[in-house]
Amino acid sequence: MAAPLAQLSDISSIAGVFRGRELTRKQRRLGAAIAPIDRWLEGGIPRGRISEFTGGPSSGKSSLGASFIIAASRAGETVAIIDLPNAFDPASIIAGGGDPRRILWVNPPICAQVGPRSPSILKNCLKAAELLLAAGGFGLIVLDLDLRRAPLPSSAGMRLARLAERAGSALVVLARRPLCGTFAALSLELSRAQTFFNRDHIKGQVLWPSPNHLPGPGGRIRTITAGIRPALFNGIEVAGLISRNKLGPSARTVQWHCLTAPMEPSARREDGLSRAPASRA
Amino acid sequence: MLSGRRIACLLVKSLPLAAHSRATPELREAAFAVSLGTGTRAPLGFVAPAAARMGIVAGMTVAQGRAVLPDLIVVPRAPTLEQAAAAALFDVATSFSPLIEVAEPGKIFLDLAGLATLYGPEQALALELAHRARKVGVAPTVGIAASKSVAALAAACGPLRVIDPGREAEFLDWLPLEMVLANPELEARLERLGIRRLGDLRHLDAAELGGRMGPEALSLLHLLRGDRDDALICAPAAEEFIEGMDLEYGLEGLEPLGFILRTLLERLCARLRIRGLSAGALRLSLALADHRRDERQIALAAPTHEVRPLLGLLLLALEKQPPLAAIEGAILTAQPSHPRPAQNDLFLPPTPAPERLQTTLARLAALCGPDRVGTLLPANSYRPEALERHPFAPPPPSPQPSAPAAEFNRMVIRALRPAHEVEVLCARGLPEFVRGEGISARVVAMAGPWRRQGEWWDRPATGGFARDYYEMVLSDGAIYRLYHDLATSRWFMDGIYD
Repeated sequence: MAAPLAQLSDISSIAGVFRGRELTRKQRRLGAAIAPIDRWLEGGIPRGRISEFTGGPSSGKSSLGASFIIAASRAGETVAIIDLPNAFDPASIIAGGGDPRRILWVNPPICAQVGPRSPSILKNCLKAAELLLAAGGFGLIVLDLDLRRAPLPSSAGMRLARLAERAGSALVVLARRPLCGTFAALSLELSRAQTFFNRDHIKGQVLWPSPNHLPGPGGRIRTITAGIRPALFNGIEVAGLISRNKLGPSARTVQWHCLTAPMEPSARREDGLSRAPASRA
Repeated sequence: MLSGRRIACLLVKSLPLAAHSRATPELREAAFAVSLGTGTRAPLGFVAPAAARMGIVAGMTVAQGRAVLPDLIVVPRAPTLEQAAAAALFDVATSFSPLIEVAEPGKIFLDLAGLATLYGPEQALALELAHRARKVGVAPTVGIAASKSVAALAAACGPLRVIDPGREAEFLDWLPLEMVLANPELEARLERLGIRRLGDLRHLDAAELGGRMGPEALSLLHLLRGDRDDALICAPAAEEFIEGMDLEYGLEGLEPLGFILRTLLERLCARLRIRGLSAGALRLSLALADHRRDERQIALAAPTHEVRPLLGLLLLALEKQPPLAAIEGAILTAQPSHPRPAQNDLFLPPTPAPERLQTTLARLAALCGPDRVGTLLPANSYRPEALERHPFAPPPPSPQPSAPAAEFNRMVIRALRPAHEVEVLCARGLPEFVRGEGISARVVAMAGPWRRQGEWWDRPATGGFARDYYEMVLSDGAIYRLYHDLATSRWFMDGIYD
C-alpha cells in the first residue's frame, strides 16, 4: 500500500499533475514565476478571487501585473487585459518572455466615442469584464483602472467577485488606490523604494556586459544639480505590503527588484535601441 | 422501385404565403392574400386558409376580395422573402443530409441514407424535420417514401406522412387523380372512362394507355409501377445566407430600423445555427427612398451566430454613419464560417470554449468597437508606438517545461497614446524642467539619450524620423520616458515606467 502512495507522490511532482484536493479552486493560485513575489504571496494570487494591486505612478504595480500575465501566458493559459487607459505595451510582455497570442486586449472607450449607447466610462469596462468572466476559460483577467479614483460601486464589486468565483479566473485590478473594498480577497500596496541608475550589476545579477562603457560610478540616484548625470536607467526596487488578505496572513512586506536592464546581453539590441554618441553624455 | 432507398420530401405548398407568414408571424392565423400586382384591380394569386374559409378564392381581384371580406389583408408578392424562405428550407434539409435536390422553390428532396442511426424511426425523423423547419420560420409538410415521386405525393397528402417500404402501392392506389394530374382535360377524359383514382390505372396496358391518352397518362402508370427514374440531382450548398425585407414606407430613424434588423438577424442566425455555422462577415444593403442603395460591410471580430452582438455591431455602424435618406428595404447577407473546433487536455490549462469565445469577442466588439478588441502586437517598425491589432485566436495550449523562478521582475512601461507633447526647459543643453498638460515638475534624475532613428529609406526627402530617448525621474515621483524629436525639435512624453 505504501509503495503505490509513494509512486503517487512522485507523480504529483510532475508539472501539470496534481492531487484531487488541489482542484479546489479556492486553494489554487496563479504564480508570477518571480521567487520573492511567489514566496511573499504564498504561491501567487488566488484563482476565482479579486486581487488588487495599488500604488502611485512608477510604483511597480503594472510590472507586477505584467509578471502574472507573462507567467500565465507562458504556461499556456488564456489571459485578457481590459485596458481602460490604453496603456498596454505588448513589447514589454514579449521582452519578458510572454506569449502575446494568448493575451486578449480590450480597450473600452473612455467617452461616448461609439455613440449614445456607451455613455459611461466604468459601465463599458465592467461589462467587458463580466462578458469575459462569463465566457470562462480565462486563467487571468487584468482590469486596468489606473484612471479611476473613486471606489467601485458595491454592486459591481459583488458581481465581479461572484463571476470570478464561478469562472475560476484570477481577476487582477490595477489602480492607484484600493477600489474593490471588501470584495478583494487580496490587496497589495506597492511603492518605489529605490531607483537604480548606472548599475552594472545588482545582487550578483549582471545588468550590462560592458560596464566600462558607462560613465559614472552608479548605484544611487544622481541629480542634475550635483553635476553628474547618470546615463543608464536600470530599474527600481519595489516595496510591497499585503494590506488585505482573506486567504492568509496580511501585513507582510517584501522588497524586490524590478529591472529594465537586459538580463541577457542581446536583449537591449533586440529592443532596437542604439546608444547615442558618448559626446552627448 | 429502388429497394432500401429512402427519400424525404419537404414541401411548402404555397411559398408566397409561407414567406409572408415567416416575415410577419402575425399573419399566420390572419385572413390574408398575396396579390400579383398593385392596385385594386390586381388579381389575388395566393389565398391563406383563413381567407379561403371566408370565401376568398385565387383569381379574384383585390377589390372583389375586399367586397367579400372587408378585413382581408392583401400583401404584394415579395421575391426577396420568397427566396429567403426557400433558402431556409434548403438549410433545414442541409442540416440533415448532404444529398439534396431542390426540385422547385419550396420543394426539396433529401436522401435519408444512414440517418436512422441518428434519429431513430422515420416518424421521429419526420417530426425532427418539421421541428427544425419551424425553427427557421417555415412549416413544410413532410413525406418519406422509397422514391421521389411517392415522397412528394406523401408530402402533399399530410403534414407528416411516412410510407413504409413495400406499402407504396397501397398508398398510391387510393390517390384521386386530381392530386396527381395537373392537366384538367386529361383528368376529365379519364373520369369519363371511370378512372377516378390512381389505382384504377394499374391493370391497363402501358402501350394502349400511352397511345390513347398521351405521355402524361403513361407517366402515371410508370409512377404506379415504380418505373420512374428517381435519381436525386444534388445542388451545391449555399455560399451566402441572405435575408431581406421590403418596407411599405420609408423609415427615418435608427430605432425602428433596429427592430427590422433584429427580425432579419433572428431569421439569419436560426438558419446558421441549424447548419452549425457562424456568420464570418456581414453585409448590409439598404434601399433608400431616393432610389440609391447604401451598402456596408460589417467587420466581425470573430464569427458568431448570436443575434445580440451582431445587432450591436450593425447599429454601431449605422450610428457612426447614418443613411442619407429614409430606408425602404434592407437585405442582410452573412458569409458563413465554420466555428473553430478544439479539444481540451486533461493536464493542460483550460481555454475558453471556441463557440463561447467567438460570441464573447463579438459582444466585446459590439460594446467597445471592433478596432478595440484583439491581440496587440508590435508592428514591424522602429517606432516604439507602432502597433498592430490582430484577431484574437489563441493557439491551443501545449505542455511547457516549467522554467525556474527568476529573482528579478521585468519593468514595463505604461504607454501614453498618443504621446503627450511637453515643454522641456534645458540648462546647458540638459533637461531640467518638464512642463505640459497636467504635469509641471523638475527633473530629479535622468538617463539617456538613446537614439532611435529609421524610415529614412522610405522617406528620403524628410530623412525619416530621429529621436533621442530619455528616462527621467521627475519631482512628482514618477519615472517617464520622453523623446526629443530631432527633426522638429519638439519634446514628447510617450510612457511611464510602472
